[in-house]
Amino acid sequence: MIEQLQIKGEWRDGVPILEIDYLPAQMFQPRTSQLLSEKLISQYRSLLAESGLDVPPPACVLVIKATTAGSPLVRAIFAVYEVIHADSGTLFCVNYPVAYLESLTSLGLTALPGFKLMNTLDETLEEARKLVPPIA
Amino acid sequence: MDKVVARLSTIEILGVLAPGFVALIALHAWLRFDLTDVLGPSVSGNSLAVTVTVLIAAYAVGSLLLEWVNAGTRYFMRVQLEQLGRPERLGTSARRRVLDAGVWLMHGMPLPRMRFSFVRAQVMMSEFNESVSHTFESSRFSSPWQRLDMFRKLVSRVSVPNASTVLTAVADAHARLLFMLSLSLTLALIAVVGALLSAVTIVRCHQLSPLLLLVCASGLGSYPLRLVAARYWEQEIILVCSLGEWRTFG
Repeated sequence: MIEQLQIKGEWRDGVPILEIDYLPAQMFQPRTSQLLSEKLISQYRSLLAESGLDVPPPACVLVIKATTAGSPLVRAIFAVYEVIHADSGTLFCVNYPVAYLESLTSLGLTALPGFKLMNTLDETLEEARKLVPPIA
Repeated sequence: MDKVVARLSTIEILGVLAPGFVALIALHAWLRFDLTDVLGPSVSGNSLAVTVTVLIAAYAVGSLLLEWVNAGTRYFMRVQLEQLGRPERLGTSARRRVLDAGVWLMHGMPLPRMRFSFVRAQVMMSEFNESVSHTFESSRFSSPWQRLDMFRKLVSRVSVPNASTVLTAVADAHARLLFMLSLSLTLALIAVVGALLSAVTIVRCHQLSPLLLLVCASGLGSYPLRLVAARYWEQEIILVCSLGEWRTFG
């Protein structure tokens, strides 16, 4: 089951993008939340390391490919948010499954400063680029 | 009878029975009905039967009030959090705005001040509740303190040092929170009904109704009770979170 958990990372237009995908059953597995959190954070850190930037980027995009969500995903998003927010960055969450959006809102995540819910990757990149300083 | 009452928890007494009694008393004062007529001569002559009937009625009314409070506050919180997260959504239909204003009047209360730690605690409790109960997406259906209450009950499955003292304090804070919210709703309902009756009197008799004083008093009294409830809520969250970090439970 663990192998079904896919997390990819890439840089686009100076913005780090994390992409996450899993099977619906993954949400019921024990330790999924811890695993998801650890993998997402380590992917984000390795993206930072390969960029060689002196300061952390002001924005990060998290794209959710899966069509289901659950408390493990919420916790993982919150864990990544904690890391990014500690560096005064903004986390853009793209494509969060609409059917599960109400639980994310009811937990208060969407109300946090530096956390933005977005619909498409294109509009997110446009928004995120505004935060990234132009390369001299 | 004593055994039945003794079995009721503080939460049931403060959060359900007491507001139910207050609502019944308000209803009695308003409608001025004679209890002997309602219950009939055979029942009203028996003091035990009268006590049991009043207790059941108060419990039923209190339960209804509590469910109303839960549903109303859940809606209020959802709207508040949605607006905080996506301010551009504010431009909604007139019907929705009227509904939101009504809900604010009846259930509006300040969100806990500790924003970051509040969300952290909510995420932690939701995850714990779902992993222990093997349920899915329970956050969608529960009000913030239902989640907290469920966590408080489920956390006793995990061995946490010195948990019982904290859990007792949490239960006390929770009982007071429910009492304040149900009482606040009762006052708000008295204010709304009073306002409607006053309006009818003003239109019919072209004079100010003495009920207006009651409307103002209960309307003004309702919100401060929710402010107090919000403080109890914060207290409850802090106490629950003092039991340990989520990594301890995972």
